Amino acid sequence: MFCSGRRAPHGTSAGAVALALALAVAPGATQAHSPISGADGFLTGLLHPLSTPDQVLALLALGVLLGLRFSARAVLPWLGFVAGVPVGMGMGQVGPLPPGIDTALLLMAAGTASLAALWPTGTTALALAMAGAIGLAIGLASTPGPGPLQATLVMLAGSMLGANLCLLYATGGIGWLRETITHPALAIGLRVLAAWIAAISVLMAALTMTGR
Amino acid sequence: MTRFRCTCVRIALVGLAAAALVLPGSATAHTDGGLAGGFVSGFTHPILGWDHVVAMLAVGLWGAFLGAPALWLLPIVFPLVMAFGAALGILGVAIPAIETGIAGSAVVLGLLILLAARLPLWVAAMIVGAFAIFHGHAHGTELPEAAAPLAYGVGFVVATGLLHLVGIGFGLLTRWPAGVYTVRAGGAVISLVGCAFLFDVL
Repeated sequence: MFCSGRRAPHGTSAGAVALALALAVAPGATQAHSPISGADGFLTGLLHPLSTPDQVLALLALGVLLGLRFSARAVLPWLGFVAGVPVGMGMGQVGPLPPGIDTALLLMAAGTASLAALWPTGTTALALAMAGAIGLAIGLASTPGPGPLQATLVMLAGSMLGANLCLLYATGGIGWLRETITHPALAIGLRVLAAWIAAISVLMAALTMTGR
Repeated sequence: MTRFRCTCVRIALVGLAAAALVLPGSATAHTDGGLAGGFVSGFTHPILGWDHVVAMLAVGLWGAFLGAPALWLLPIVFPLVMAFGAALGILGVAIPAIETGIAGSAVVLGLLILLAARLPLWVAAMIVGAFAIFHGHAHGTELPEAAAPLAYGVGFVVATGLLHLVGIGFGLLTRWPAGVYTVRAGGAVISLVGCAFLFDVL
């Protein structure tokens, strides 16, 4: 009576949809906490780049810069970032965390976003230096408190992956937009966005320096 | 006919946006509670002072008058340098004659629009950047203590950008001969408002 025998669009039958819905809402299949040891620390590290505005602004600024250079001229700076993060993490483990790392990150974000706004096609060496410095600072800022070596390594691995994923999404998203929408207004809009990121970063750096 | 109607609708929308942005009566100033309060505080800061509003409209207007690339380069330069000025204000670095500089920006930019001055791009950027320091410093000095920094910064920068956009929208009237006169008259009004602030009439 209710089943007409006709298939839904794209070959999806009503039965398959019902099954998927049943599986989705079945509470017995879900487990709130992963039984894998150390997964909590990994997740904490994974989300760490999104935990402070200075890291978010720095990653956004770098994402816009690399997105505007997408794709061939973004690879080398990206590698600089990938190399900088573990170096910073290592420095954070062997020595004390330098004071004012948050202000330094905000100033780097301002510099990188200014470069993206005013000279997005600038030299690869400059973009590489910016990416490496931001990676280093994010690595330093990701240093966890004292604890067992294994837990520290797991958390740092999460932070490393999280920072790279954030940059990947920002760069890839902007690159995809530029390849999809070829209207020149998009590139202008992205440069305006970069100018806004730079302005916000400068404001936040000044506020951080005054302790507000 | 349809094209003309579309243009009229666009102009009406830009005018409506301008009116909505610059009407201070509906804005709540300095509500400092949390992220939303910080955003509202930052957003309303540039649009509550007429001296700031006319100067930022003038930047967009002059950019539209000069055409690309000034059309988008001036609204990029202004927030960048303004943030630097705001940082100086927050850090307590004194700059003399701030109010004179703010009023002067409206006078000069208004005159440049009135005279249809087509200066080289770098000169235009230098002029706009120099005035942005004064505006930024004033905003930085008046920054409310309790505002959430990130939300305040986002609101502050977005409001500035929208004011430029309103100016650019008005400036697009220069595509029509009658529009050129309208825009130049707008420049005269901006300059007069600047003079009124300069001589403490307003």
